[in-house]
Amino acid sequence: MKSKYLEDLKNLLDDYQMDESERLDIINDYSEMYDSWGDKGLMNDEISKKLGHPRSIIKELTEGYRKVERPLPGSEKVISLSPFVATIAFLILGFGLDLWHPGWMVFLLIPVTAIIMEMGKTKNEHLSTALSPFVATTIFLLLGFLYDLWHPGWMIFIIIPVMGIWNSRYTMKKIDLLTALSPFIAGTAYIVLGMYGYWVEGWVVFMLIPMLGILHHKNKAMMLLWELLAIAGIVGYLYIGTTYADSWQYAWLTFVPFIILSFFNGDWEITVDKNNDYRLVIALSIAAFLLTGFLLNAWVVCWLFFLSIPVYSIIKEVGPKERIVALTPFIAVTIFMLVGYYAELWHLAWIIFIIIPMTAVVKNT
Amino acid sequence: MNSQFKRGIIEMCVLKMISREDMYGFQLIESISQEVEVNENTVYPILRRLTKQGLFDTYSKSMSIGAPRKYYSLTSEGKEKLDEYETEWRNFLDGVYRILGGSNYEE
Repeated sequence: MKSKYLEDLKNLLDDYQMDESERLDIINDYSEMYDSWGDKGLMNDEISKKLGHPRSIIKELTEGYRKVERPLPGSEKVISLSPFVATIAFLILGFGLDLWHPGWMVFLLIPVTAIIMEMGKTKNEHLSTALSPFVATTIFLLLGFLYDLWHPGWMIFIIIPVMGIWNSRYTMKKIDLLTALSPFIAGTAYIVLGMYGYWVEGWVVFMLIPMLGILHHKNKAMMLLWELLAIAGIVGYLYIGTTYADSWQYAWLTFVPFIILSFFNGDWEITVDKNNDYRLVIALSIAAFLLTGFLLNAWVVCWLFFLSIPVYSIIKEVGPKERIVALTPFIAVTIFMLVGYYAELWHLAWIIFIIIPMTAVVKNT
Repeated sequence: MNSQFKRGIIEMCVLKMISREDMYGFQLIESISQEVEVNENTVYPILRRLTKQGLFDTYSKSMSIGAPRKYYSLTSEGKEKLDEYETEWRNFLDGVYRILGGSNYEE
């Protein structure tokens, strides 16, 4: 267990430019700490937890060190060739199979290639965050063009903020990770339930968000009471609503005890200051999403507000050198969606994705 | 508290503790954490950095059980740095107390 811990740490340290002696010093320090905690009677699992997973401490240990860049073999050639390969594929699809549309989507391969090659150099953990807009856009457009499933096809874009949060998981406590993901889990569940006609009763899935938030409360007895009132509210609401005819409009009153307790229990001692800024970004993006969705009926594009979550995470966690490359997909997707949807220029809007390989090339020169 | 600010203070505490007696990393963390909340991932990088800057010397001491431990001792350069930090810190605190209204200031 100790050797595995140290091996994981060493593998992560190998990704940074530092002297072998410094690397060895860090490994030896952690070896000594591991032994010291072992002498105190802690078990392997407890020690690993105490010291922190290598992935969660690596940032602190390598502050001021640059990541080693290991270009993937032939990456420059692959980036340079990708526009030609995409063009050839486009022409073959067009002339050969008369698939000009949606064949133009092969041009999405150009930015995808650039991102993989560029961010792959430093094994950047936000690679999948940067790729998620393309995966989501491709699936969204295919669902829309081929099956006319624009709605609920747009829901695929939820994977973008989810990936952004998921890729920051090593810097968050498990409960914070769940809390951060809960709006997206609840939102997806609600829309799926709604599609089956459960719009009225389905909204209770959003109770998942406060119920996870309550778990941060320091007073365990209060936390338990709060959770019980939430569960009682849900059960009561569903029971009254489904048992008595036309009772949904007053069934929500079962949440009154929960609401009163929430109102008078304002002295939350939340211990996760570090992630409060993430919560604010998530809360603001949800508020903006709902406001523009309901007020302007712009559901197809208002999910773009969720891009602020991975964008914030990239600005905060990715080094300045790689930041611009990681951010361009989000800028491009925003422009692509707005131009594509409002001007109905999907077939031309994809050109904006060229800014991604261009950024990568400019960055490398 | 701002983490950068806290790290600076911990650095001073590390210098002070080792000026009193030579210590190994874990012993130092245990001593400091009796007064201030710290963890290994904060203290060890400080120890490595200050050693690199020549403020500490290190030596190994064999133990009856287990691997030898790395002890840290303060160099003359480290002593000078500590004096400098202590003077700066006291001046800083004096200034803060004057603003807040005395060392017994309570809100």
